[in-house]
Amino acid sequence: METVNANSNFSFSEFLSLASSLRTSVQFQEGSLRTAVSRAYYAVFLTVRDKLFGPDGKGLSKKVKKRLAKKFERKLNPGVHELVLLAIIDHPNIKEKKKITLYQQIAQLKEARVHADYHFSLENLKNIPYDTWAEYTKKMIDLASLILPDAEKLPPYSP
Amino acid sequence: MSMTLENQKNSSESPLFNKYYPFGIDILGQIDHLKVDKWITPKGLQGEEEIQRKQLESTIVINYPKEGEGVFQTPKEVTQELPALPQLLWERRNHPLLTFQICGLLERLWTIVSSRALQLRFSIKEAKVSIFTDPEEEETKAILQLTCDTNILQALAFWDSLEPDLQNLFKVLGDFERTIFLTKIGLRIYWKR
Repeated sequence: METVNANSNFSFSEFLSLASSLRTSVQFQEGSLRTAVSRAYYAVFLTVRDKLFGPDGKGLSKKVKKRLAKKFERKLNPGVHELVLLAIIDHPNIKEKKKITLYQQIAQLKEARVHADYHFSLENLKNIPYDTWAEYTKKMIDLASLILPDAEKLPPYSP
Repeated sequence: MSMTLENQKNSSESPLFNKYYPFGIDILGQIDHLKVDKWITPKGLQGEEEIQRKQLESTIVINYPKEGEGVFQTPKEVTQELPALPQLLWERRNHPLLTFQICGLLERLWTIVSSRALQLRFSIKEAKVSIFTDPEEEETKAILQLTCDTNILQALAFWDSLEPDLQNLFKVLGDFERTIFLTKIGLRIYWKR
């Protein structure tokens, strides 16, 4: 059976480049834009995850998950996305001057990704303060581009 | 209504500084409505004086008349309107998530944000509290959403400027409130330019 080669040199910033390309693609307009938002978020999220917990987030073990869930009083099986973000707050070696805002900025991208992947009704999209998906996508790609350098500097999580 | 000034050269001797900062200290980092209708130039204050605007990084040159005489009127540029703060809107005040405790934390967050916005002359066009549900993680949050008439760099700089205030808030909150703040409340800043 063939397997996909693991490429240890893969950079998540490629997802951000892909997001930029999708934004200007003329085919499948809304679908491309929604996918671009999602890729922009994953470029940042996966960078944070791997910086904190190693390749594929292997360091986010059951024990660590349990610890974070207990500390932040989360449900029994909290989502990985939320735990990775909470690990930024819990991280003792991240400069205090950026912790909470970085957490909130990534959470804003996460929210955009949820809108892009799950929300199609006016009721769920009405709070986005932009008129078009093109504008929203551009703003979120810009945000991801500015957050990514900070994400790349995160030290490994070691509570 | 007000503006931020800093007399870089000779602050303690400035008539404007003394009039509006009687203790010689800019406690709030801003002057509330700087306006002098009539000023008799005191001894030693004849000539030009530069006043530096902190945020705009521009300089105003004030020409004082002769010592002991003359009428000094504040140049128009010195009196500058601060951007008005919008009223905080609550999209769904009766949502079950918006408990007394969460509303209290949201109000504190809004106080931090609005104070900093006034201090930095940051223009917020709209501020509202909305509810956001993540179907994947089955989580619901109360979001303080700001829409600003700025570009992304200004918006992120403003966001970053909130960090010390948020850190200070975290220091005075108990563990439970801190957890609620992180997991049930979000701050989102959107920029229009």
